[in-house]
Amino acid sequence: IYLQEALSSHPSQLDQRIKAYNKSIEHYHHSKDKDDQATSKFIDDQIKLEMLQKELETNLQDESFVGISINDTIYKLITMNQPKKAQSIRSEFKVPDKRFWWIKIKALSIMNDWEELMKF
Amino acid sequence: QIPNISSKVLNLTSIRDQSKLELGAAISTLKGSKALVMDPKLIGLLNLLADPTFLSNCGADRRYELKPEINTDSKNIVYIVRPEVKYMHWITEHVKQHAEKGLKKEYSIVFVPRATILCQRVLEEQGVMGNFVISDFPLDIVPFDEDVLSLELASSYREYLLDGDRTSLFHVAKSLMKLQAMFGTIPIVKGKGHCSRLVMDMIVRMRKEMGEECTVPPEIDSLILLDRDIDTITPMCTQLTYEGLIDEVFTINNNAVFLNEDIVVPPQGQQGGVGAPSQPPPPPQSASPPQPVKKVPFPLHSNDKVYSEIRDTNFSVLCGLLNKKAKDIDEYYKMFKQTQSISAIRDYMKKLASYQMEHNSLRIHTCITEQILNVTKSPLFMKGIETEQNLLAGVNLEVAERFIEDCINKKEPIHKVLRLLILYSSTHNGIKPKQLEFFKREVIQTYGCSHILTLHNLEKLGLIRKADLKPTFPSIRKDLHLIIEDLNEQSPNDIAYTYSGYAPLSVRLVQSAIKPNGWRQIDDILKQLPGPTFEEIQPLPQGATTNVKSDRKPITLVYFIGGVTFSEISALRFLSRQDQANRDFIILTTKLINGNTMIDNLIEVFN
Repeated sequence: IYLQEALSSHPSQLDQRIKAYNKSIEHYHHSKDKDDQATSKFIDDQIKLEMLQKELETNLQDESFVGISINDTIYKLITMNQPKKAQSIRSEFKVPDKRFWWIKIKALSIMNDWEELMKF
Repeated sequence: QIPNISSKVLNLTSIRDQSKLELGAAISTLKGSKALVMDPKLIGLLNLLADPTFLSNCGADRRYELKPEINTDSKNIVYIVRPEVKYMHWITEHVKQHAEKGLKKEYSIVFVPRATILCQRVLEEQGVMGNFVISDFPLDIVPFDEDVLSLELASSYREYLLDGDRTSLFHVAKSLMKLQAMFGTIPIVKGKGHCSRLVMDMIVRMRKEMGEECTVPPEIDSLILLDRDIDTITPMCTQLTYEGLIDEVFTINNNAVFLNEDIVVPPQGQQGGVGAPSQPPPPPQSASPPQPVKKVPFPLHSNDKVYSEIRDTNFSVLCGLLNKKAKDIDEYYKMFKQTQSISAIRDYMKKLASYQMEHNSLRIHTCITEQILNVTKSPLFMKGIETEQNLLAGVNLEVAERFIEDCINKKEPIHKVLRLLILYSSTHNGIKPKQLEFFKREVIQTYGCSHILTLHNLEKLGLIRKADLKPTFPSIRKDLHLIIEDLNEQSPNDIAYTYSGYAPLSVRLVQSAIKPNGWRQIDDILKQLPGPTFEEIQPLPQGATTNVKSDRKPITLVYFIGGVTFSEISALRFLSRQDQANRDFIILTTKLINGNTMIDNLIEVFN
C-alpha cells in the first residue's frame, strides 16, 4: 500500500515506476487477503498499459500516452485514426462491448466522421 | 457579507467577537502597515469574521492570496495559513527571493488554529526559522448563521477514520469546552459513534484538569453528538432543498456561492441603486484569481429575508413560492397609487426600502432557480434521482446497476459514480463480490489507475464493501420510517420532504433522541449502527443552578462530527418548528459538506 503511493507520485520515469509497481504487487501477493490479490491484478494491468503506451509513444511519435486511463487511450487512438490499435487494446484489457461503443461513438462524433459512425 | 447572528435563540456574536479580537492580536505582531497573505482556503472564512475595514484598522492595508510567487512592496508581511508543509516551502521561497534581491522585510506567520511541530521543523531545516515571528490564531468555531456553527476542518472525516489522526477530535472537544465556558455546562449529553465517545472522554478529562469551573448558568440544555459514519447514506443522496441544490449545483463555500456577475449585480438604470444594498463588496483585492467569466460571491444566510424563507423548502414547491413573493412585492408597489395622505406616503416610504431589498434578492434567487432548473430538468438528473430512490427503497436493483454502469461508460464525473456506488453499498450492506469486482474494473479502466487507491480508501472506510450475509438496512428503514410514501411537499408533515421521500437517518436519530423515552426505545436499531451509544449527565458545577426560564424553549446542540449537509440542517430546522419537538436546535459541525466534497477528501490524485 505504501509502496503504491511512491509509484504514483513518480513522474514520467517509466523504469522506476515499473519497479515500484512490481514491489507493490509483491507486497500484495504476500498478503493472504483475497482482495489484495485482485488489486495486484489491477496493477499488473497498469504495468501492461504503461508498456503499451510507451510503445505507442515511440511508434506514433510526439503524443503523450503514459499516465492516461485505458479509456482515454482508446479514445485517443480512434481520434488519431488508429482503429486497429484501439481494437487490440480493447481485447488486451477485455473492455466490455458497451463501454467500447460509448468511447467509439464519442470519439467519432468529435471527429465528425459521420460515415464511420453510420457504418458502425 | 458578514451575517448578523445575534439570534433569538443563543447569542453567538460573542463567539465571533472573541475570534475577531484574537485575529487582531495575531496580525498586530508586526508593527506598522503590512501586507496580509492568506491561505486561499481561509480567505472566505476570514471574511465571515472580519470586514476589510477591521483589517485595515489593524494595519493590514493590502491583502493577497498565498501563491508560490509573491509580489508586494510592503515591508511587513503577515502570513495567515493552515499548518501545511506545502505552504512552508512556498513561504521559504518568498523569503529566499527577497534576500537575493537584497530586500529587507519583516515576516510573521500566523498559524490557524496552531503551529505544528512538522511545520516548524520544515522552516528550521530550510534555515529561515529565525526570520519569522510565529504565532497562533486559535480560530475554531465560526458562526455561519444564527443556528449554524462550523469548525471548517475539511478533512476531519478522513483524518480520524482513514489516517487514525485524532487531532480534529481534539479540536472538537476544545470547541465544546469553549462553548461550555461561554454558555454554561451542558447537563445532558447523548452520543453515538466512536468519535463521539472519544470526544466525550476528552471533555470529561479536560473538565477534571481544569478543576475550577465558571459558574455560568447553562443556556444549552442538551447535546447530541453524532458521527458522520453512522449515516453515510444521507450525504450520498442528492439534496433536494433549495439551499441543498444550490450547494449541489454551484457549491456553497463559506456561506457564499460564486455566480456569474450579471446575475448578482443589478442591471444599470433600474432601481437607481436603492435596491442594491445586498450587493456584496468586491472580493479582497487581488485575492481572486483571474477568471474567464467573472464570478462574484453572493452571500447566502438568513439575513436575506427572501432567502431565509425559501432556503429550507423542497425545490419542487419553490417556483410557486417565488411567484407568490413577487406578487406580494408587486402589490406593494401598486399600493402607492392608492396612498393619499402625506403620512400614508411617509409610512409607505419607510417600508419601501426593505421591499426593494427583497425585490433585488428575489431577482437574484429567481435567476439561480432558473439555472438550477436547467440542471434538474435534464433526463440524466432525473434518472439519477430515480436511481437513488430505488436504492433507498431497495427495489429495482438491476436498473440501478445498469445506470451506474452507464454513468461510468459515459465518463460522468467520478464523484457521481462513487456516490451511487456508496449509496448502493450502504443500503444493501455491500455489493455482490462479482458485481463489485466488475465496477472496480470499470472505474479503474475509465478514470485511471490512481483510483485503485481511491477505491481502497472507500473500502477501508466501509463505504464500499462486499456483501455480507445479513442486510440490516431494510429493518432500519422500516423501524425509523425512513421512506415516506404519501408525502405532501406543499405543506410538509415530515422531514422526509428534504429528500422528496427519504428522511435523513441522522435527523431521525435526533428526532428519537428528543422524545421522552429517548434512544432506549430504538435500542435495537442503534445496535445495528456502528459505534457505541451513550447517554451521560454532566454534573453542574456548584453555584451554576439551572435557571430554566419558563418562557424559553430548551436548546439542543447537535454536533455532527465529520460534517453535515444543508438538507440535514433544513430538516432540523423543520423539526424545531414542529410543536411536538418544542425546542430549538443549534447545529455545530466540523464542516458543511455535500456528497461531492466528502468524497473529494477520499480521492487520491497524483501529479
